[in-house]
Amino acid sequence: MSEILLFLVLGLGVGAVYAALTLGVVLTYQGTGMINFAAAAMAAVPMYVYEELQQGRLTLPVPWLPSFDVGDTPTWLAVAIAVAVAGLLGALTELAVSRPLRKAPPLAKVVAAVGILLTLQAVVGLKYGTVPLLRSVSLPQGAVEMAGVNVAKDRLWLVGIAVVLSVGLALWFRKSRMGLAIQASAENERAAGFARLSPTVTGLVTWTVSSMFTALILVLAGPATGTLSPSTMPLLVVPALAGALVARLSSLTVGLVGALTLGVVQSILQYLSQTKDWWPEWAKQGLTNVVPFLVIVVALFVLGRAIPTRGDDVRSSLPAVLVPRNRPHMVALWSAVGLAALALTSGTYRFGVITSLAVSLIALSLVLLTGLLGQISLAQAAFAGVAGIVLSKLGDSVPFPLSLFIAAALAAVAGVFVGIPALRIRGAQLAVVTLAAALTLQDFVLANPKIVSATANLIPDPVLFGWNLSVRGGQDIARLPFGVMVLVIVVLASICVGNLMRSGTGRTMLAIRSNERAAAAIGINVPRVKLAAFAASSFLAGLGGGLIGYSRGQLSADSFGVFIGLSFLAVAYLSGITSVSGAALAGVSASLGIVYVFMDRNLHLGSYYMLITGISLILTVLFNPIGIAGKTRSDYEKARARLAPRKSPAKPMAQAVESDSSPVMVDTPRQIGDVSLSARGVTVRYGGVEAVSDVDIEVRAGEIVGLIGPNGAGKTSFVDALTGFTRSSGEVDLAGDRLDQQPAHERARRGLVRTWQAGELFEDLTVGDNVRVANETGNEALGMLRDTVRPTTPASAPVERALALMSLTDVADRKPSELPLGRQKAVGMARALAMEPQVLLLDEPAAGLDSTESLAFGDQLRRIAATGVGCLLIDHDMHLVMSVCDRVYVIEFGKQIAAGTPEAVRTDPLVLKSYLGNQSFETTEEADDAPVGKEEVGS
Amino acid sequence: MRTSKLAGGFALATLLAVSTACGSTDSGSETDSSASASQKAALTGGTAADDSKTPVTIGFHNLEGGAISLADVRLGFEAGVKYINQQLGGIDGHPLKTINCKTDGTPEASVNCANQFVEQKAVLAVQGADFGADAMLPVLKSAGVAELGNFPLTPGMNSAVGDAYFMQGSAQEGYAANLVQLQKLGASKVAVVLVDNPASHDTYRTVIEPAATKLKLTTKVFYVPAQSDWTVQSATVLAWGPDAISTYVAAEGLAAVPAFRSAGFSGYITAGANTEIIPQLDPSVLQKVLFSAPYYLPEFANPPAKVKKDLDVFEAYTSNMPKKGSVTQRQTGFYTALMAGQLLRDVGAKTSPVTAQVVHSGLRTWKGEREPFRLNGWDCSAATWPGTTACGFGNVYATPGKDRVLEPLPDQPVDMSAVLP
Repeated sequence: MSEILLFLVLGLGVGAVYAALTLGVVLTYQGTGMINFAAAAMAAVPMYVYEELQQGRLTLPVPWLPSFDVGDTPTWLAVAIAVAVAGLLGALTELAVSRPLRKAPPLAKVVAAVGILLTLQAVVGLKYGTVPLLRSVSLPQGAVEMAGVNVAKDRLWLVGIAVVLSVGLALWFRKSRMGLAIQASAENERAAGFARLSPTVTGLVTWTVSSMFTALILVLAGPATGTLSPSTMPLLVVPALAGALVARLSSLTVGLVGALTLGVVQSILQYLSQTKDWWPEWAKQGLTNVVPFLVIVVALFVLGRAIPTRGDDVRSSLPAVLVPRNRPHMVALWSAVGLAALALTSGTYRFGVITSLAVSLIALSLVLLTGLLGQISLAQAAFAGVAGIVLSKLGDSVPFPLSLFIAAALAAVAGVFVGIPALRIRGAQLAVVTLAAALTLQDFVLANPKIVSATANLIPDPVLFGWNLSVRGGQDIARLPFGVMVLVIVVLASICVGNLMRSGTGRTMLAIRSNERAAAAIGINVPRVKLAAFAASSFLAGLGGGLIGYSRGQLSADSFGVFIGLSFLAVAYLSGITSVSGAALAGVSASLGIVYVFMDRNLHLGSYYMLITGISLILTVLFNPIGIAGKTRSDYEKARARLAPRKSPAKPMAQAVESDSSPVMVDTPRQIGDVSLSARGVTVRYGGVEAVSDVDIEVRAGEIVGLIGPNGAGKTSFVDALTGFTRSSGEVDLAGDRLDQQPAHERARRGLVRTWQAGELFEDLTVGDNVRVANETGNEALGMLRDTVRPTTPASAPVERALALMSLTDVADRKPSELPLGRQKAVGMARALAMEPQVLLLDEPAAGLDSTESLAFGDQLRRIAATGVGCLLIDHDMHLVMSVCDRVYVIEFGKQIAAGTPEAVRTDPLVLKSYLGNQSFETTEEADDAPVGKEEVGS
Repeated sequence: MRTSKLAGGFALATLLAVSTACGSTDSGSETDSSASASQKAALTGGTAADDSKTPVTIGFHNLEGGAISLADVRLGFEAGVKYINQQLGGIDGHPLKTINCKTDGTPEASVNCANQFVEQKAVLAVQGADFGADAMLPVLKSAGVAELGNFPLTPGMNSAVGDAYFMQGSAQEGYAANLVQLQKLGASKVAVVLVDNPASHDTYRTVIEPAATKLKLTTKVFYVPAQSDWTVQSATVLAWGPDAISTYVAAEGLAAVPAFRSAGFSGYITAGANTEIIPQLDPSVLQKVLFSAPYYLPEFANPPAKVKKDLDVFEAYTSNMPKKGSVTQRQTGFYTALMAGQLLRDVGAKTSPVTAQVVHSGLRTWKGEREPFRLNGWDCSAATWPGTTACGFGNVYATPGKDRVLEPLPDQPVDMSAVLP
């Protein structure tokens, strides 16, 4: 028991180190929206400055600046200087990187943080050397007896200091004016800006304060941080990130407790695993690095979607996806270029070409997962490593290419395992999970002696029907047949990915990337698509890992480590993470790729290679976020556009409707049929608040039913409940089919379809594809397989009908953002109609429309209902509601207060009192003759 | 590249001779110009290589520019090649030429080096220190190029029998000798502290445990992850109650030794070849801390006369190098160059011209009387530990005296015949 106590106290010391980083990460996230993956790398700088001062030298982290002999420096002064350097570094990071990226998407921020990490790692190596350094002790030494156990005094001091400083920081965060401003920015940056809380000031303060806070504790921690080394120190951020996720990236107090607990758990597990015979041998390797990953997984399952996404004022979107066109001659041309590159080179250069091709598959996996789907993964190298292990284990027992396929398939399984916990989050938080997973795979799997041999993990040469495809033979270090084999695999994989990108699967992925909620609303099974994408991308990474393994002749786990994974993301982003050509370019720029070989043989960048990579990454994020391939394509498209005739501006909706002569626009008389939608006793609670209380509703086929009420009445919550976007109780039947236990996408697929108040269009897709994607849902995994070989299918009849009905045919190839608001609303309607709904729930479709557009919309709504679709219309435009609806429900404070025909409702005393007041409404027919204008109530 | 993913602990501990603290590779401009008379004499009197003859090309790969950078190994190697060409007549009159290839510890960089060596027709690949070196083996093996080095840092190189040759004792010998030495000093319950990687797990199972059984020692292994808090680690180890501790934890030794002492442990601790932690630690901490080295280092007290002469040559050829740098790293490079030169002269004397195939086959029977910096000979025809690539043997154990000068223990090198498999 006393030993457990000892390790508990010692674990608190480790936890104090994690807490310093955790709180820094949380504070930075709150202030700027950036998850600082470089937190530990940044903290290493002041630690080196401090250790140098202890040796009588002032050595600042500037590669070409000499050291200054300063003689003996008092400890307090050395600490102060180190902390000041940390503050300066934090401020510089804010000014140079974080501030320009304030409105950038999470991917850009993650990549920038990786760039900072790589840059600082290189700077520290160049300036302070790469040899691990013993930390000096600044806190009182000796031992204190506690419950019969001698505990190191410096650890007790460290824990005390960490707790006091953390509590102080938390109080400052909770109570001070600046702390409140930071919280306000985190809640809603744009709103905070309106309240004159400058995000630039809060950003500068949080970076500076968090850097100084972390540095102060880590400098004082001394040996508790372990030795100081540029190769291992940056990875201390992983447990800190686990603590930050536990703290929901928002609570400093929970972060402190979480980090301390993590340290204790690690310490006790370390003790038990090393000293107890019952601990299984296979579970000893890399145990301490597994703990943060497990904590993250558990935290995600417990907290789930409670981990908030910061209210960033994100105005720039992800780099546009460059969907490759189906041009066989271009495929043939690029294949010929690859073949020529192989045939015309030899030796190290041909090996460089081969490596480039193999790595391009790993980059292609990032194009699919990150570029196309928007899921940030830092674990692709680890998946490639899994395939390498499998290949070495299979040996000669399975013939090529089956062995390669099996290896890649098992990498796909690993990808799905990592993807499962990642389903509950997205954005930068997903990057945290995949980073922890990569570290776990690296230490617990790729380095596990029960799995990987210490001496040799040979991978047999590939042989196909007796044809020797080995990479080398005698003095020939890169045989052409091997190169051709790799080229064939890469070309096939690229064609498959290109097919996916322009197919229904590609549109589905882009829809998810644009807006997960809206994607679910059109019946896309978002978790299944994500898992399928994780599997497919890991399969691609596995293919790349397998080919790398064949080219080496053996598995080297170091080829697939965490930093290698980060460098893959770096080159993929630099080259263009949203295009197949970007993946090819990433392969060219990769380590041991053709550019690397050329530079190694001719330029001798040596020590500065890593520094150049890191800085290039940051500069790319800042100035060219679409990467080299994207920029090239974009410039090409601009040049083409200059030569092509200009597009005419999109017409407003009303004009389009008036001029439409489509046969489907015939005003068919409506027939109201049986009950399609029946909801009984629907109740929605948010904590202690009952937003919707026991509401019943019915909508019949072909009927237009209105749902009105003042702002905050619970209308949107009710629609969310019906469509499965919020937890609720009560029954929801659609033509006798109980839906209340079904997920949102399933309700949509069965015909209960909604539109959104804010449009929620997929900005990455054209108008036509926005509508088309809604008609391509279901069988995502099988569909993905089919789309790799047969991507081009004509748009279905419902899609064509929906585009025509909403008068969008003329703008089908435009992006939604290019259209006026009225036509954007029409796109949302068309998207819903393409699903051939039984019942359509329209959430404020007329909001923002002028009266002409509103009238046109009313006409369209009648035509939609005439096709037999039941419509539930929520709107504040009373002219619209009263003129088109057959019946109207009125709710107030979540409770139904009236129901009946429009005439009955607008004369209902309770409705008049609570909502309508003394207003009169004309029907549309009457209003057609009335002066232009509309009444809005409750807006 | 991560140190925890590298070779076995002994290999790492040995690497410390070339990598730790004062092994800073910051190249200042200050140089050591105070060569002694004997050192100056060492610079003259030999036979220079004939520059008009075709050079004999070898490849040299070494960590430089990555997460761990050991530039002084290369500097020492280049000094050794210079000595061979200026004083030893090159390789039977042919100048010795080096393809210098810098690695960063990743397999990719090492494969790149191997490719270059094969492409440029190197007759031998020589390793300074390279953690990614295992990845070179398929390339070198396919082309019939042998690997020569000082010490096998990586498990693949340690076991690539017939394709790689290392002049010092094997990693296995190092582990076993540690136990033998500790037993001689009275230990009976030894904690073995290893870096947490596959090679360490393998080594404990196949080498240390069997050796301990033969010696009737009780041992228990403790695996240490990278970036550890050594207070936690030392407490874990001491909870078992050992009377001696055998550490193979590379640079972490700098933190490990004081941590064990702070936690109250006063028994023997072996710290491998990591002699460069000595100036950084308090003498009280260093009591009963054992260091081992394959040959005499400049800081050893009273080297034998022949060794002293070798050290003079070494110091003469490295005296113009920046003061701020690792002498031990340079000695490693210098030693390796000299052994490579010796090999090429020996095989060239039998078969000319010297080709990769000639060197590869010649290595199988190569043996000699005395290596530089020590009195031992070598024999590559039979590994000194079965199944390894070791041509040499013998580690000298020493402990710092009051003035921190290393004093060899009695009966060195350790006789480990009792634990041979």
